[in-house]
Amino acid sequence: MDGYEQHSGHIACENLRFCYPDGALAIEKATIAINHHERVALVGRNGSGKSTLMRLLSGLLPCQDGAIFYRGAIVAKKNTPTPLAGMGILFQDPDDHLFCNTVFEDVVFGLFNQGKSAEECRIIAMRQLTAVGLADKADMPPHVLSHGQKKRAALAAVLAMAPELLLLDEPAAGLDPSQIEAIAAILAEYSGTLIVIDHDLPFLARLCCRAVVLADGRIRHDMDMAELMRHPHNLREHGLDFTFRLTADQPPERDKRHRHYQPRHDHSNGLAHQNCQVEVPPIIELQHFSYHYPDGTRALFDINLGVQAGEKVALIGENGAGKSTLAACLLGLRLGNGQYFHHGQEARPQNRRDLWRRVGMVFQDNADQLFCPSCREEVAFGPRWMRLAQDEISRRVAVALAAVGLSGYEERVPLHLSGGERKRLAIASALAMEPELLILDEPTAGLDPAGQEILLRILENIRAAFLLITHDLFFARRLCSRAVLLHHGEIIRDDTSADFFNKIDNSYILS
Amino acid sequence: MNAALSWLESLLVLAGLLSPLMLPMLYFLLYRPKRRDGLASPIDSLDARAARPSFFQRWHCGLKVACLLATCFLFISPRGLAVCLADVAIALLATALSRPSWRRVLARLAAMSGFLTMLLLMLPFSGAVQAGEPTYSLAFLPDSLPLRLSGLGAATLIILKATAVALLMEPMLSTATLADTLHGFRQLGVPASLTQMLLLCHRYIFVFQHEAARMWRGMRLRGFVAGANAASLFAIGNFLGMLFVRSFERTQRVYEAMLCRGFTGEMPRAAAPPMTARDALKALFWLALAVSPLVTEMYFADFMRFLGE
Amino acid sequence: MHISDGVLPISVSVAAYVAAGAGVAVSLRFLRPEDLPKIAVVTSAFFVASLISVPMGPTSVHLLLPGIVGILLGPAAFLSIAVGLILQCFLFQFGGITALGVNALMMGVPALVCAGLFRWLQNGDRRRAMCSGALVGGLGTALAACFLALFLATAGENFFAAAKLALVAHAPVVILEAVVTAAMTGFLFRVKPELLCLPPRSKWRGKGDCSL
Repeated sequence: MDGYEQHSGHIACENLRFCYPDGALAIEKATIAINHHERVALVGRNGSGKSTLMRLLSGLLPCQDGAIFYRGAIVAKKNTPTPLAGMGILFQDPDDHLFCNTVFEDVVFGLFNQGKSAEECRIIAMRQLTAVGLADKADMPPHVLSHGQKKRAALAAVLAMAPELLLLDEPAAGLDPSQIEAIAAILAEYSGTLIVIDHDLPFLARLCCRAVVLADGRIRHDMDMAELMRHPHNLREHGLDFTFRLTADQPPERDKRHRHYQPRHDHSNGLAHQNCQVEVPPIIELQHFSYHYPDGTRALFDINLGVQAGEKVALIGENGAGKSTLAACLLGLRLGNGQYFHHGQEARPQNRRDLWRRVGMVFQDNADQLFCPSCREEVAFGPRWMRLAQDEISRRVAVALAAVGLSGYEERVPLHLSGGERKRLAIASALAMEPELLILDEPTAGLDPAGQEILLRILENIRAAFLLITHDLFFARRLCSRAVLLHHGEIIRDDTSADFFNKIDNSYILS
Repeated sequence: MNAALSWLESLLVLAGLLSPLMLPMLYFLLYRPKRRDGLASPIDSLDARAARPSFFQRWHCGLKVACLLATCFLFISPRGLAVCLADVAIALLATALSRPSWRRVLARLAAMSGFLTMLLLMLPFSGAVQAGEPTYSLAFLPDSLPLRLSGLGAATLIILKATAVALLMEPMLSTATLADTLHGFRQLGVPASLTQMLLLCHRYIFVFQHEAARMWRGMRLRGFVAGANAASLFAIGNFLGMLFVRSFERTQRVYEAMLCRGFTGEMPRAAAPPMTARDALKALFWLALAVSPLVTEMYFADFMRFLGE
Repeated sequence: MHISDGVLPISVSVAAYVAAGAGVAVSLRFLRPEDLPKIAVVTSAFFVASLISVPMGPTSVHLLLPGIVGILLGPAAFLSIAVGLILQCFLFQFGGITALGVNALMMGVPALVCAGLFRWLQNGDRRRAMCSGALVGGLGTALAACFLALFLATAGENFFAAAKLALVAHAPVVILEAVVTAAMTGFLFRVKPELLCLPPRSKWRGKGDCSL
């Protein structure tokens, strides 16, 4: 092609432009050059085009305009997905990569396609699985692995092929700090060229030396990682995640006293009830509540938690602490042992099935919650099943959509909305049922800071009580009057927000 | 020759006719799946116990599949009552030898019970009555609808055959990994692309089952109750639409992931262990066992008649 | 409803195996090799969808979905149904292994008919798409019920009453499936029309290729 020079780097693109079939422009005038063994972080807000750029560079998307250079030569344009040789690509969802019936077969798949003998495949596969810590799971089907294990298995399958260029799309998403640490350790040993898309700043800082910032399909900044770290406030708008995370190396001592709003029993072993006088019984109260999984492992133990009307509680804890399980128990999805009071009355197991009318939930993954072809139907779904009158339903829909700032979106298709809009729609669907207690599971996950600001304003205006499950301490501090710390299924701290955030131990928080 | 039955006898006969329905009830009692509707209970992987050593597990897969499949077809060919009972006994022995999950065995039998009960209720009461055929009139049915013993016999034979074949499924399918079992089928002539599709499909059932269960839970938390009314059916239609949209997106991503790991159309497969003399001996032994009831009946008919008297 | 082992004469069983096998072989020959993994993954979604049971009175009814499979997969529907049925038989004993050929014909042929009918009927209007969906969904199940009755009838004249009962018993299922298919078609029309082989809607980011 005339006018395009040869590039000496490993991979490069020049004036790349890409439009989707419906005409939306995804990438415009992208020009990058990446050298061998360089480690680049690709950052930007959701929708800025990072994933699209990665797919273009890998050859999965056809290059419409501009040129891509790989190993010094220009890449021929093709219409079908043609991954370039020597590249390893890891998508966000590890289930897309684990398509064989055992983990071992998945790792061997790529090696077999490289033409290696069966014995070589076996040796390399076991070595790779040992490197990611999954050697004992080699003969298991992928669906029994946890999310973190699946990510490591997918990474093993890609790394086994010894790619010279590795492209990773959000490898740290959905993982807790120890798992992120494991992935970072594996990647630190990789010696080829690395391009990583992620939001997690500490993870990126550890791995990469260069950062390319995208916004609206264009490359805005291309700088050293060190320089990026010096100016974080400029770049918060570009979607970098500044949440601090809790690690549980030395968690503080469990607070031995617990609070019961309604004294129902005495303790004989010296554990005292804290004093709390309330005239109105709390909406929900759990007393000495425990839950075991069907296979016997303990999920929650001796939970004592009460939520008053209008109270805003933050539930904090690392992944695996039991936050989602606690939410499921509060919703009545799981039945545990112990007492569950609803407005002072004990909720027996058969009544707990009706709790959905009072307790609403917004899941972390809103694809699990959106299944109607229009926003209006989506928000009206709950009220319709509550058998309300048609005009009441219409009123609630209008109010709920206005509360989340989506008025005028009635006829739009939920799947076509952006991530932030979908999250707001999910909140609207829950609000339309006018719950007494709203549980929000990681509402800021996947949102860029602009989206988080909008979410903050929406949540500040909600009158219902809510339980905010979150990793984001800034968010929790601004919204909630009370904070509960959960660790390995037990409540360690239950304080007012001010006390909690003032008393946080430095050794306990990763900053 | 029409004999009238009293109310008590008629009710006993009815209970007998409905007896296959005891199986799903037994299953629910023992294993207690949680909900009637939806996708609550997780699906068992077919080869979860494939590593347990047994007579079948150490058998060459191709021979095993060939012999057991031939036995299935043999068992459904026309036979008499005694032979069918012997078939069920052989199948039960084979199942026990394969050290199965008895929960799966019961689940298989329970799955067939609805269809078989329907036949058991219909066949004895339908068809023309032959001259001289013994019939019975039930107390709560009109005389024009007598119970034909031959119909009952036919239904019983069907049930026995279906049970025998269903029992053989566990030894055939659960005693090796799915990949090995399908490789055995491939040696019988099933195309490789079909077995590759089966393996891939089996893998993603679990993924979509999780997704569907989460979506179903999301619907139920907003008050959805499955039922045969328009609102519920429309919600199910939307649910299915969403599930399929996600599945089409995922299939595109899986395909790209396969391409990125060098997929050219052929899935890798380990070389199958060669057939040994021991496998061939097992095959001969099994086939001999499988045809023994038929052979016994043919050549020792007098003996059987003597036993029957 | 799937036919279990032992009901049909062995000749019918074997003949159906041959016919269904031929259908599968033809599908494998004429489909592009790159489509086969895609069909397999989508088939597992159909498999999971068929596990939904709708309580209806004292019992609950499983949806059969031949119409839906036909609408979404077109000519690949027969293969998809065959794969799904094999796994249903292996995992759950829905249908006996000796009756696989019969069951494949029973569900696969109506799916192909539905595929052709739907493509022919709909023209890009939402209401028409939903009506065609309803018609096709109901027709698919009705045809499957007719096939079931026909196969049962081959077992002998004693089975005629059972065949008639099977036909009548599927009548409510026909209506259920018609409604569900209409709802699904309406959903897909608005959300991702490419799956129905219509041009993509303006704001949708995705591939415009209708065939897999």
